This record gives sequence, structure tokens and C-alpha cells, in this order.
Amino acid sequence: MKRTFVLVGVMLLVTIFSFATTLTVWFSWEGQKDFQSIVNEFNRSHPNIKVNLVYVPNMIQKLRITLSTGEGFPDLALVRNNDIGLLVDAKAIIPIKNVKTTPSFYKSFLINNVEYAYPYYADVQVVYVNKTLLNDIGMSLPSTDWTLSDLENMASSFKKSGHIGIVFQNNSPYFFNPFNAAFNGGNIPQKDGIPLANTKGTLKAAQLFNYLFNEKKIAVSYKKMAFINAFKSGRSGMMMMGSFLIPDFLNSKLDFSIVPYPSLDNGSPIPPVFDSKGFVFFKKSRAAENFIDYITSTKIEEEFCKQNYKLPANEKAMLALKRSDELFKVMSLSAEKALILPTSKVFKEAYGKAISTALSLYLNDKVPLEEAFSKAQEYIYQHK
Amino acid sequence: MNLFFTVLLLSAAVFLLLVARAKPAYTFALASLVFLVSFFPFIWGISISFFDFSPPNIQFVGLKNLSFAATDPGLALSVKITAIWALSVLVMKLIISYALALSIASMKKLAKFLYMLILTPWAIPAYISIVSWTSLVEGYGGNSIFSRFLGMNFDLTTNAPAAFFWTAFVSAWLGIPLMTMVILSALQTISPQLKDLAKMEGMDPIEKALNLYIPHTLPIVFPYIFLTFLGSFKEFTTIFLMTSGGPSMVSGFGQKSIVGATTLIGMFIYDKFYSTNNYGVLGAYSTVVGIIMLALLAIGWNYRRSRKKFRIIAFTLVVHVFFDLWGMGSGLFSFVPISFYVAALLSYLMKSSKFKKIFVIGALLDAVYMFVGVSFHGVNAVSLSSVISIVVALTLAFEGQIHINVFKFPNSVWKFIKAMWLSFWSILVLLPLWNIIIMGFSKENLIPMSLIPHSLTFSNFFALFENYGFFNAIKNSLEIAAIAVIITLLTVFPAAWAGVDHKKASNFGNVLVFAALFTGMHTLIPLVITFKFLNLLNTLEGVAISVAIHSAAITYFLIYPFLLALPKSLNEAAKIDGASGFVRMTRIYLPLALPSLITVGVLVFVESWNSFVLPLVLLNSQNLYPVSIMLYNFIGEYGTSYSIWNLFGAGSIFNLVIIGILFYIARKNIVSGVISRGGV
Repeated sequence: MKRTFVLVGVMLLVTIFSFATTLTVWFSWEGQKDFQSIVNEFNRSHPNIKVNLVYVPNMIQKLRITLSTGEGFPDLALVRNNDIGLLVDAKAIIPIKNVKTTPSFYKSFLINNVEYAYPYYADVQVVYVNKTLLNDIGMSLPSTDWTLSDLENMASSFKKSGHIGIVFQNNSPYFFNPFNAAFNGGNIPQKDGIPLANTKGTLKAAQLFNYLFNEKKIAVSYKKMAFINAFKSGRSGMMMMGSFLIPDFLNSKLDFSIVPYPSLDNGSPIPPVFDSKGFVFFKKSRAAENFIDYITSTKIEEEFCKQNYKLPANEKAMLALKRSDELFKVMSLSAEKALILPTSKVFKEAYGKAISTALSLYLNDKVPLEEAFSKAQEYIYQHK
Repeated sequence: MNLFFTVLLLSAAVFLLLVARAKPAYTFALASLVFLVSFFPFIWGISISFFDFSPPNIQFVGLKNLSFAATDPGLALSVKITAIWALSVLVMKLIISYALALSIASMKKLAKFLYMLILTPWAIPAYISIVSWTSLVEGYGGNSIFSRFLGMNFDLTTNAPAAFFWTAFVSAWLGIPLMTMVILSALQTISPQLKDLAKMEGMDPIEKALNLYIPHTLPIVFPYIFLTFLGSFKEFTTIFLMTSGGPSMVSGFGQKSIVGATTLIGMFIYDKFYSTNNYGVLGAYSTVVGIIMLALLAIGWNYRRSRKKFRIIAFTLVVHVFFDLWGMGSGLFSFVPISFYVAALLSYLMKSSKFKKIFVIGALLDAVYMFVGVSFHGVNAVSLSSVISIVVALTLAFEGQIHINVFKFPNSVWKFIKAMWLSFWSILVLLPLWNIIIMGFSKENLIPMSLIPHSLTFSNFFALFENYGFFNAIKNSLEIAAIAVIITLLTVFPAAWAGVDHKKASNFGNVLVFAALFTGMHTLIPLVITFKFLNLLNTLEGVAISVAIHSAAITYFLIYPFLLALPKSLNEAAKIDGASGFVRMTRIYLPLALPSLITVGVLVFVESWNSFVLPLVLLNSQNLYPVSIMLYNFIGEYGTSYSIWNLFGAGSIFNLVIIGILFYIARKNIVSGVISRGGV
């Protein structure tokens, strides 16, 4: 009898393992080690599912190459919200149902009223302030409802003390989009799904950049790697950037704080970019759903986001983090008025490049404002 | 899928029938791989260019995509920028290399030391030296060691002339060792009597250079000049790492494409890969760029196969007209230089010695018109036809002239100038290395702003292995290198032996040279799709195959002459005794060829270890990254939020030590092999 039980037990185990489903999951951006730990724990607690985690340094490159042959997709992949248009157009991913999250996250992955990814976390743009330099100029951290004039004053004071007022890259759409949206009713202007690059609001936003960088000279533009170093090494008093740098600055014991983006002086908010990431499904399976349920459960997601300073898509996890940490409070406040970028293919493939070139040419005084942005619009139309 | 394999099988069959007919058992393996890596991607690019190709949606569109690409003003502009950039690199390389070679050749003491010093940039992986130069020149937004020293701002993101100059200079810096080597070898062919005669005539160094050294070495060096020009035409790494094609230009802001001041065609194709989802359009761009490369090769090939001037002039004329009609020439003005080239051709046919002068006058007219145009209308006035003619004229100009230097200096002044020049260049050679050393031992993650180290730590080296999986990267690099060496030895050696044993099989060497000159980003991007279909994408084996095949020309021409030099009587005697080809190859030639095979092994190992573009494009999983990509990730965008300069420095120092040891072991044989490939 005992022998029979053992035999049946062994057979059951063999059956379970031989029917174990293998899921391939592509993961990118920060938090690789923490996510691997989550996957290891999932594999331990779900013997009938084996998750094979592949870290992909450049997700969009890998997706494009895979799309070029139409084969070799994983079961799940973590993607940025403005990459999904490409995947939807190629009919590579399947719609998602029963998503429980905040409206911002939900809207991030919506195309034609269909949700295409299970939201996981988001970064949000904030203003980083060097507290040591701030003390040196005798100022205190601004309130969360500060205005562009307040930012100008603070930047001017930093400049007077021999530092850079504020630093970010002035031809990057990543930084221009919030200002563009601020002058266009809170959104990237579009007509029939095509982004517009030469509206009055967009031109005003570009003129504001010109004022900050070229006329008042309180802002300095560097490439990404250079401006982060400029802030980190104490050469700049402020920096605009995504919240994903917080863990690194904390590890470096940098004396800094974050504040939300200011509003324009007329009260219109400058909405920071809500840089959300979610899991897209290339194949529908119960195992994939189980995995998503596991990683988005409150405790697991809270732990991952806490370690990596990410805004969790899980509402309860967000609430818990907001209560426990001042930095999360500012991030959460920023997210409330954040800008959700369009998900269309034309926005991804043409808009960014066109805006970046137009800004470069205009801000370097090579082309008049209207001409630069008209050319950008022509480029976008050609690639729609 | 069906379309892919149909095209692959049909084209492979045709290629192998054409190429591997002689001694197929020995050449088949190499021919198959060369076809797969170098030629099939181009054929696949042509095939899909007839479709709107976004799997699963594939629709036949005829010539629509090809027409779109061929008429893209952005592509034409990129080609023009590439042409003038490649010409600038060539001129810099020629002037500096001649100055270095002539200085070293006239020295007795220190010559060997300086020779090795000048070769140093060749031994440094390009992805290390380019990044080091970028940090020296650009620093933080133009605030750098160089900008402080020279009192000028070199922001490569906004300053177009600076971006153009520095990318060209760094590219020239990377190529100068090889060109200096070629010139030094050519200088050896000048008889001591001639040198003595020049001395007795009282010629100063300028006169000696213009009347003796340059005229005598140029006929030997000029095949290499055109090959260098072709190489610069395909440049990618320097641009990718220094400027990514920027800064923006007004004339480059087109409707179809956006082209920056340094968007060479390699960068242009790479950009297209990331901005289009219709692979038919991408295939069309690759096809069009491939056609441009073929037109250039039509001229360059004649330098290698035949040194008869007729073919060179005739092909230059045809290519000139071809690009003029395409809109990449000088418009109607082209009739003027073309009439000179026709006259030069007729003069040659009539056996008049004036044909060179007539050609050079035509090229001068081409050059003057182009440079005047550029000064008024910017880079759009660059003419590809004119640039090609200028390069060809450079190879014809220095013959039969007596040059007298009116500004005579005493010998002591020349000695001082030579000492200053060699010291200056030595500093430029060592500066990027020193910069890397400062970074690698720095406690802080900062770009050096001074040449004096401000801190010293070994912690970066420990961090590399403890926190960043450097061991895994080394393991991947070793695996790629080992597979590439095995593939090379198993495929190139039999093919080289076949060439020795059967004259017709030696023609395969030409195919390898052609493949090496033809391939570039326009074949690499379709190769990605090809490898994806064959499940070789994102595998170390895929990278190893590509590296081995990209090095096949040089390895073939290291082994082939070595085998050819062995006594033929051995082979004949074994043949009479009834030994089969395989037995003769393995029992007679293999043991004798071991020294050259060891050199080839080391060379392929170093090439694999240093490879950057191939793993960059073919790998996309972090656990597969070799050392080169891992180091790039420290300063690039992938995987890290911002640059970690001190870890990049530490990893580079570690890398340089490995490469330095290997290079030192095999330096003599590698140098002689490379020079023989250059046609000297």
C-alpha cells in the first residue's frame, strides 16, 4: 500500500512537471534584480508554471526585429505605453480585460477604447533640487503649487551664486512635451490621430524654451548623460528629469529633494510626462494571467516599487507607499496632473524626431520659429 | 517564411555554382557562409523592396519603395555628406601618415620605438578610443579638456563644423597607423642609391618628399588610397559613438528623412531601421545604398585587378555621369569636367602622356566648382561625382614633376621641426589612453577635466566583477572569439589550400575582397532579418559567424601567400604517389602552415574581441553581451540611467591589457599580413 502511494505520488509529480507551462517574459528598464527575485519566488510557488525571464536592454529594438519576421514573440513583454501602437498595428498583441488600476494607468494603454497592456508601474517627471546649494543661496524648497516665475527666481539665484540655474536637454521631446501640453489645454495637440506640431500653443512653448535658455540664460541644455552629471556633481541647482533617478541619488547620498513641475503663471499646470510601463500579451494563456495576477498583487508590487521608486499601478500599493515616503508623495502628486502621451505609431516614429529637429534649429537660431515647426509638421504628415 | 527560403535557396544555388565550382569540397563551406553574411542580405533587401513588408501583412508594390528611396533628398544629402567627410578623412590620413612615415624613415635612433608608438591606436578597440576622444573633446556640453586648452567650445550636439571636423579627425586617427605602415613599407622599395643622390643634390626634406618619396611610393600606395576612401564611406562606429549623426541642419530637415551634419549613409540606414516598420522601405534604402557602393567599387576594383589607367579613367567617367544623372553631381556644370575626362581617355588611347594632366585639370575644375558652391550654398552643393574624381586625381597627380622649395631652412631647424612634430603626434596618440587611465582609477564618476589624476582607487575594477557581471561578458567574448577562430580555421584554410592547388579556386580570393569592400550597414540591417529567420539572431554563434566572415578576406590573404610560398614539389610528389587532395591538405600543408594559422587565430581572436557593431546589432539580451557592448553600456543609454565613466575606464584598461598582450605576441605577422592585403 505504502509503495502504491509512493508510486502514485511520483507519477503525480512527474505529471505535474511534464505538463508545466513555460512562459517567456521580456523585461527591461530598472529593477532587474528585484524582478528576478519575484520571478524566482513565483517559480517556487507555482511548480506547474516555469517563467523564463529575459532581460532586454533595448526593448523597442528587440520588438522591431521580432516584428520584422513576425515570429519569436515571448508570452509577455514589459513595454512603454507609447510603444504599443506599433504592436497593435502589427496585430502582434491581444487586448486585455479586467484591469484594475487608476484612470491614468488605464488611459496609458488605451487604443480605440481597447486596453492593450496590463499596467505595472510608472515613472513621472519631477524637478530635482540640490538642497545644499539651496541652503547656500538662502532659499527653501518651494511649495508644491509653485509657478514658473518661482522657478525662474530660484534658477536666477542659483545662477548668481555661480551655478547653473536648471539643467535639462532643450531639444528633447521628453522635456518639451509637458510645456507643449501646458499651452495646448493639457494634451499633445492632435487632429484625426495625427500629432500637430505647429499650433499656436506649440510655438509659444518653443518661445518659452528660447526665453529660458537663450534670453534669460537661467537654463542650460546638455545631453542626458552630461546634465545628470552636472546636477550630481553640484554644478547645477535644479534638474528636470524622471523619478527613476531617485534610487541612484539616494545610494550616492546626494543631498537632494524633488518637487512637482510648476504651473504657468496663468495657472495652467505644466503636466509632467507619465512614463508608464505595462505587460503586453502576445499569447493568451491562463499561466500568463496567473503570473500577472501574482506580480501585480498588492504586496509584491508594493515591494518592487518601493525598492525602485516606481509608482505602482496597483491602487492599494500606491496608497501604502504614498503614506510611508515623502518622495512618493511628491511623485504621486505629480502623477495626478500628469501628461499621458499618445500611443499611435506616427507619434512614436515621426513626432519625436520632428520636434527634436525643429527645436534644435530654432533654439540655435538657424531657422525662424514658424518655419522650423512647419517643417516638423510636413515630416509628420509624410510619415502618418 | 516561404518567400525567405525560396529566395535564399535559389540565390545560394546560383552563387555557389558561380563561385565554388573549382574544388567545391574545399571552398563550399566558406562560400556558403560568405554568401549568407555578405551577399544574401543584399539580395533579401532587394527582394523585399518590391513589397510593403510588415509581417504578417505583405503586399506587392512593384517599384514604389525603390522609387521612394532613390528620390529621397535626405538620402542624397547623406551621400553627399558621406562623400565630403570621407574625402576629409582621406586627406587628413594622407598628410599625417606621410609626415609620420617620412619622419620615422629618416631616423636612426628611436625609430623602432616611435613606429610601435604610432601603431598604438590600431591596437586600441575603436569603441574605447572613440569614447575617450569624445570625452576629451566634448566633455560636458562642450566644456572639456580640449575646450579649456584651446579656448573654444566643442559642443558636438550643436556645433556642426566642430562635429564634422572631430568625427573626421578621430576616424583619421584610427586609420593613420595602417596607412603609415603601408607608406613605410612602400618607402623600403626606394633604392639607397636614389636616396644618396637626393642627399648629394642637397635636397631638403620637403624637396625629397615631393620629388622622391611621394612619387615613388604613390603608385604603390594609391590602391590603398581608394580602398581607404571606400572604408570611410562605410564608416559607422565613429559617428554612432560621437554624434549619432547630429547636429541638426536646416537643409537636412526633409519630409522623408531628417539628416544631420554627420549623418553618413551607415548612420542613415541605422536610423531608418529604428524609424520604419515597413521593412520593404528599409530593403529599398539598403538596395539603393548598395547600388551606390557598387558604383564606387566599379572604380576601386580596377586599382586592385589592373593598374592600367584606361579602366580607372573610363569607370570614373561612367560613374561621374551616373551620379550626375541621379542628381548627386554638379548639375549642368558637370559637362565641363566630363569633357576633360573624355579628352583624357582619348589621349590615353592615342598613347599621349598628357592624359594624366588632362584628367587632373578636369578634377581641379570639379573641385573648384564644388568648393565655391559649398561656400555659398552649404553641404547641398557637394557633388559625389566631383569627390570621386578628386580622389582618383589624387592617385594620378604626383608623377613626373620637379618641385623646388624656395623656403630653405638649415638642417638644425628641420631636426627641430621633426622632433616637435613627432612629440606632438605622440601626445595625440597617448592622450586618449591617459584619459582612460585617469577615468579607470578615479573615485568619482566624472569626465576628467584635467590631465592630472585627482584620486586613485582600485575599487572600480572590483565593482566591475562584483556588481556588473564582467566575468559573464568576458565569457561571452571568449565564446564568440573561440567559435570565430574555429570557423575561420575550418573554412578559410581549406579554401586557401584549394586556391594553391587549383588556379581557378584562387579566384575565390577576389570574391572575399569584394565582399569585404561591399558590406556595410546596408547589408548588416537585412542580415538581422536573415538571422532572425535562421534562428541565429541574438546568439553568440551568429555574432561569431559574422565576425569570422567579415575577417575572411584578411585571413585568406594571410594564409594563401604562406601556402603559395611553400615548395610546390611537395604537393606534386604526393600527387604522383596518389595522395588525395584531403591527405595532401591535412598531412603536408596543415603542419607546415601552423605558424600562419596561429597568427590567423590570434588575429581573428582580437577582431572578435574588439567587434562592436556586429554584437550591437545582432545581440539584444544582456546575458549575451560581450565586453565591447558591456563597456558601451556604461556610457551609452542601454541598461544604465547615465554614463558610468570610471567603470568604463576600468573595463577599458582591463580590455586593453588583454588585447595588448595578444597584439604584442602576433604583431609582426599581423602587420605583414595586413600590408599584403593593402596591395603593397
